[in-house]
Amino acid sequence: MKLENRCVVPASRDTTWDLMMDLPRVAPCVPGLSELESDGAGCFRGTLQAQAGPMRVNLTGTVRITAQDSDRGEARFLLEAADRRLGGSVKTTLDLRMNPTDDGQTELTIATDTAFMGALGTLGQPIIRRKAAATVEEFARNLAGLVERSG
Amino acid sequence: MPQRINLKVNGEEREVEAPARRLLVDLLRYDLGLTGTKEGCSVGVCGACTVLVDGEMVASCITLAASVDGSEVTTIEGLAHDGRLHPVQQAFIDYGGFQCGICTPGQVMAAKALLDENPRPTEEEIRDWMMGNLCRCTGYYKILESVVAAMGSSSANSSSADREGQSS
Amino acid sequence: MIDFEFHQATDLDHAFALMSDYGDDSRLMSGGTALVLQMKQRFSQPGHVIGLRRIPGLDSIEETEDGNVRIGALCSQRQVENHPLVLERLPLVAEAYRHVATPRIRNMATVGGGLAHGDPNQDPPPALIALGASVELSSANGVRRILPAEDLFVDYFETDVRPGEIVTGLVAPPAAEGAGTAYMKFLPRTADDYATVSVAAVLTPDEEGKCGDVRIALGSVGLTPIRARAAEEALRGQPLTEKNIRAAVATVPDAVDPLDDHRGSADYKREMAEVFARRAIIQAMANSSRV
Ligand SMILES: Cc1cc2nc3c(=O)[nH]c(=O)nc-3n(C[C@H](O)[C@H](O)[C@H](O)COP(=O)(O)OP(=O)(O)OC[C@H]3O[C@@H](n4cnc5c(N)ncnc54)[C@H](O)[C@@H]3O)c2cc1C
Ligand code: FES
Ligand code: FES
Repeated sequence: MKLENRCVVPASRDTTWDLMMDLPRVAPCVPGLSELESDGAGCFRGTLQAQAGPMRVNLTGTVRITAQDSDRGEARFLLEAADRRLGGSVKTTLDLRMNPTDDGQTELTIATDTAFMGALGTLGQPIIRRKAAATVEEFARNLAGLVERSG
Repeated sequence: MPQRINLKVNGEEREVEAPARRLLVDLLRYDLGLTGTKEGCSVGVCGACTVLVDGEMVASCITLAASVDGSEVTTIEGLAHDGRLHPVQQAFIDYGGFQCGICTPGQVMAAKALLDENPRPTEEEIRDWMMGNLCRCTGYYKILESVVAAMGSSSANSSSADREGQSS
Repeated sequence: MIDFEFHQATDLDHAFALMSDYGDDSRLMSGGTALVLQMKQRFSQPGHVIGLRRIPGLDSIEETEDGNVRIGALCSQRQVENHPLVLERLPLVAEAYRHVATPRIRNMATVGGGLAHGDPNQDPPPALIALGASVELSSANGVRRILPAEDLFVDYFETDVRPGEIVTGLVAPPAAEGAGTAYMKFLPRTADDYATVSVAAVLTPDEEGKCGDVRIALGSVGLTPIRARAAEEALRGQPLTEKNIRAAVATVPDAVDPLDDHRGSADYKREMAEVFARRAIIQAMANSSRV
């Protein structure tokens, strides 16, 4: 399933880039994400809690940056996570694109391509889309807050 | 965690030790060997798994056996008495209310529940009630006819022979 | 289904004690029609299931001192649709429950479980919202909270039933003198399906045949049931002409926010919401003793 969501970050592209590449720093902005730990080799382990309809998921897994191009402001992440209890897993390729806006802010595009396996595959896509859009909105608000706090 | 589940099934006290996740349909079929009750959709839609719990019809595929501990359960096996079929069963035979038969135990149990509660339902009431019992074979008309016929006989509690010639 | 422990609560206090013992790892079960399916589909994997069905005293339907009807949370949905008091005083409620699934499901499913389920495709919520019904929530030590049905539904399958609370009842006021009510369920597929769109309307014409109070609520058109406030506003005080009704329901597509699914695209449901809102209003007028 492919999703694309956009938000505006109130910071220059360079600042946004530095922030987004520093996963432990942006991690608290991701709704439901906890315990992001580095393995020291560019891979992070964490747990994401989310609710979509009747399903409450607890995804534990890894995220790593697989490609980055700071000149173009593009980066690719690979996320692999599973919910042991539900018996389902996801594999997501996440592409970030950062474009400067006319007023010196940054438009952040988050495009994901996700494969759902096991029980997670039975949940309706329309509701996942709806929830993903809401999550990106919340992420954007949190990110804006973080940018402001770090001045 | 296995727990003891006591049920009075077709008039007989039964005790089964089963995990809490055991569904009533599985307890009946696999623990008690009462395979008359069928499982179709497994999600409460088709009615194949219909049984009566304390006289009320339920979908046994979405009923936890542990939740009905202590209840009376009636299945298709419990309808015939002394070698005589229940009037609803007999009517399904006489009026061609089934073909492959997979839906039939559920149809018969549903029809029995209806007639127990409302001995003289209108045709519309029968349709409304039986709506939740799906059948891929008969096209439903014969089922409806069977229930109407059973209604004629169960109040009188007559044998099938008395009803010959009543169909048209 | 993964295994769990089943605890049959013998009374409310027992249920509250079990809830505090097992907290997050437990789910309440009344009829089980929704919960068992969720567990079978592995959507929900509680370690403990607390059965409420045997709790005494929660399965009656009675008139309250102020003329409302109180329905205990453990009443089966069939009990509601057939109860003489409900048929007489709350025909809209009887009608809405009668549209739920099949008689077999309504035998099993309860009023409280249905409310706590929070699926926006359910039939009773729009009717309860249009009537201005309230939900009674109880927690340990006799604490009670009364919540308008409208505020119960907060998101897709999410309600404002808080941890430690049990839905213990539903209180619904009969529609006002002279009011007409209607529930319309649009079912293009099969008669036992969930609605593609559903609309409940409660409309009280005044003595001159103008629209007095009106409440319209819709199901299956968003993440929760949705009240068509703009349409109500547009209609209130107006003569009940076809033109005014059409103008009022023209606001409905903007009020709803349906999901695409196998019952129809979001656009289709948006259009049908307008059509069925109009039909529900006309039906409510026809059912009023004043028009
Ligand atoms: C085949 C099928 C078809 C259906 N079709 C329709 C339809 O056409 N229209 C429609 O409206 N609905 C339909 N439904 C849904 C039905 O309305 C719900 O399943 C039912 O209302 C749930 O009630 P219950 O008592 O079985 O709840 P349960 O399954 O016991 O519980 C539902 C939820 O509420 C919680 N809960 C239960 N009781 C309480 C309580 N007293 N206090 C707090 N929380 C509680 C549970 O933890 C669970 O989360 C259908 C269901 C099935 C299985
Ligand atoms: S198998 Fe139970 S209703 Fe279909
Ligand atoms: S007789 Fe074959 S499904 Fe009904």
